[in-house]
Amino acid sequence: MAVTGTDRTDGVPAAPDAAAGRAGSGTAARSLGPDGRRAPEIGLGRAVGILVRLRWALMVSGWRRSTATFVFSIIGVLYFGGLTLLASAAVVFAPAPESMALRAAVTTLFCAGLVLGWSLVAPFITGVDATLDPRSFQPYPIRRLPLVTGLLVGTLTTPQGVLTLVFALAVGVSWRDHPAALPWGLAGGVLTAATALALAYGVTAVLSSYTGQRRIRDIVSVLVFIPLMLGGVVLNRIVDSFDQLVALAEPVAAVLAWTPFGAAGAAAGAAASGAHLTAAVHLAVGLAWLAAAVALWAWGLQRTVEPVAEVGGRRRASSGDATARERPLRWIGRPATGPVTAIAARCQRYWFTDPRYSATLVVVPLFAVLLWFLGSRGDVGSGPLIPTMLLLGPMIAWTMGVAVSADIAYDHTAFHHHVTAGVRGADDRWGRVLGMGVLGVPATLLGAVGSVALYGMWDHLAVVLGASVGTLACVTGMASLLSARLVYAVPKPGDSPFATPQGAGMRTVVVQMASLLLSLLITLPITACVVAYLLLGMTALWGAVTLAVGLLWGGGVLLLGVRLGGRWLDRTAAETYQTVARF
Amino acid sequence: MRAENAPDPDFALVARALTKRFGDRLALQGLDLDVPAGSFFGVVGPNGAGKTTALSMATGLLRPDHGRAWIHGVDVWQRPREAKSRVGVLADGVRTFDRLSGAQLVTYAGLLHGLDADVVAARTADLLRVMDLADAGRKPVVDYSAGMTKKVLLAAAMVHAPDVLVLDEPFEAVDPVSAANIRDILHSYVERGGTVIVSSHVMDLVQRMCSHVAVIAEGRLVASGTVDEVRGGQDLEERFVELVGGRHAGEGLAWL
Repeated sequence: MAVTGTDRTDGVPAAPDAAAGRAGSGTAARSLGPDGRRAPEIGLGRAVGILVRLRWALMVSGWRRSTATFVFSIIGVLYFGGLTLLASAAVVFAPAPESMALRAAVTTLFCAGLVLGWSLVAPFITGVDATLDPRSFQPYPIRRLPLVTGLLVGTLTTPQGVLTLVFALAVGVSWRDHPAALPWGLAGGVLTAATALALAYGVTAVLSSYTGQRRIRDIVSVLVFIPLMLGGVVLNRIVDSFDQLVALAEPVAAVLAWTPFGAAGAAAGAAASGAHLTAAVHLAVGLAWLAAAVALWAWGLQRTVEPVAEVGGRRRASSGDATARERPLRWIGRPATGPVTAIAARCQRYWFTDPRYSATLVVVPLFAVLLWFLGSRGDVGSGPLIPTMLLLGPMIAWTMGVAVSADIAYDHTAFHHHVTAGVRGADDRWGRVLGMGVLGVPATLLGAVGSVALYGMWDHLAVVLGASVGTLACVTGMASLLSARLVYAVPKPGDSPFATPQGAGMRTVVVQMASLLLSLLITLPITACVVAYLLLGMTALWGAVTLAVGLLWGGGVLLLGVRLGGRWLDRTAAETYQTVARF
Repeated sequence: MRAENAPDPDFALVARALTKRFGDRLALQGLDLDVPAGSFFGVVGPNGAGKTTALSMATGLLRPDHGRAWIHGVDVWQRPREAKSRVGVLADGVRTFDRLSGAQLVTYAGLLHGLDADVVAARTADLLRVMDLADAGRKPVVDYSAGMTKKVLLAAAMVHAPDVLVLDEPFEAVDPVSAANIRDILHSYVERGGTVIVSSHVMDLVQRMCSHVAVIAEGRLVASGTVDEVRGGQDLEERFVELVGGRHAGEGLAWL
């Protein structure tokens, strides 16, 4: 009852009388939980005990039920345990930097990395372990803060929690040669581990509590991919040498030392240089951040179990007739009028709203950045070489074209709409091509023209355009043909675009290899023109030839691919449907 | 009632000797089915009996190993487009294009069938109104409840005014009020000459709602006819258990 209770205000860590409350063992939670006011409720201490035991009981019964689960758990613990121990040993026994300031910064950065990793990777990419779904405690008399605290402590006792704790403590132990700093380091380690887990669950709870949760998660799961892909390159650019990296460590750590990520970790370094008061402040700030993370979790939980009534209720009430009459299904702003435009409109919408499609779009600007870094590494002034950047157009074209081949697999069983409506294969193929084209054509043109404009090499415009548009058309045609029947496992609707699909196996590899080889083969005439252009003095004539061949050959391949793919789909729609349905 | 000449246009659906093998398991073993036009036809059977397999074959989703199926005399697998234009399908346990709004999804289904855009727009508005989804029309289907999703999929199955509606478990997760509304819609559809084929686990519902029923067990047709013929004075559920078997006699929970 109390979890959803309405007569309570303890969603925020305020309750001033609570500190005097009970001899609770929790660190932050004691000042948070105004527990014990009602007799039948489960207090903090008991809640923690119950939840920790429950957690383990569930884990052990999972092992008992399935030998495979047990074996995999063992392997997982051995693997990650081994990694953690290695990393911990490295942290503890590696020679510490001479400079005390640098050493302090490194400690802070390790802790910050741990917390940041947990709070990004767990909610957005892997998802958190939901063995104990807080919602299942709704019927029991336990308040949110004891519940959350219990869940947190319970998580700390699970293998991944223990490993997190081990590493965080190892970072603290690395101060073993400074007896004055060691206790601060250990306390900071415990705080860091707890904050990491609390923040991971807190962020997840808040995300899943939002009514627009799906859309937020969609956007974030795509955006989080950008730093992952670019991180290495950017770092490589910014930091030319190890010295620079070292120089960067201290100012970054100085900032992180006040954030939830590094506050607790910064205590040890401060103490080592004698500033015990600063160390205490850091630890207090860390404690406050932990409390905030727990409060965030509790708040997210409150929003989950007490869903706000206005889920979509803000809609204007009288939208009924108007909704349909204003032709809701639109392709490039115009109402769809038949199967082809309807499918194009639907695909267009998916390109913008489904993260599995949008992830492809994110990759496009990344190409530009990657090519720019690659290009600017070499000697720019060495001869009349074509800049690497000019490959941008063809690369975007290839990516967008190949994306069509995943289309039916992305539909999954929603493809049954096409099958039961008896959509003509060619209509299906054209619709998907046109839907992709809404973004594929502008992106390709933008890449081609933009890369030329960047260097002011307008002489090359024709050849770059020819290669880009030709590639887009050829690869799209090929994908339209192959994907009529050769579908491969992709993340299911609603899954993260980076989730590994189940049962992919060899089929995916074969289809993708075949796509790559085939696309090299079918773009051969265009490639030949480009080579001729490069070898024969880059004349305007060969540029024009490349453009013409790109348009004509590409157009031909596209037409043929769509037509043959359509015919193939006409014959085998049922089989294709059964194949995707099995994924 | 059985179609004498197999491709009989007076029958909404005729199936002959439908057979499907999945690996070692024979899902359907020569199933015959005759659904008279204008009937409200229930297909019942235990889990795994082959109901969904049979209906998938009749709607072009699964190619039979042997046997044929005709919709109003049109062979589903030889003239698929013509046959499919006369059938509306509500499949069970499948996804839909759930990032479209309800209105978009119904429009999409109508346009896929090649209807005129104006007709689709008018019918979409009507269908959403009848299904009590007018207000939810702008919301993406992914945010619908299970019952709302069923209703919008039913609307999508009806938008091209088919002669035959094939509905796999249409009432699952639908609230009683909506279910009653949907039953009204289906009954008036049948009164105007349409044929409804529903599969269901709920005997009570079939007995109240359907004019005809077929019982399938282990991939074969066990009984078929009007509901009164099949139940032979008994309750349909009792008769079903009698036909299908599988009841446990003997010790129950003595301690309870």
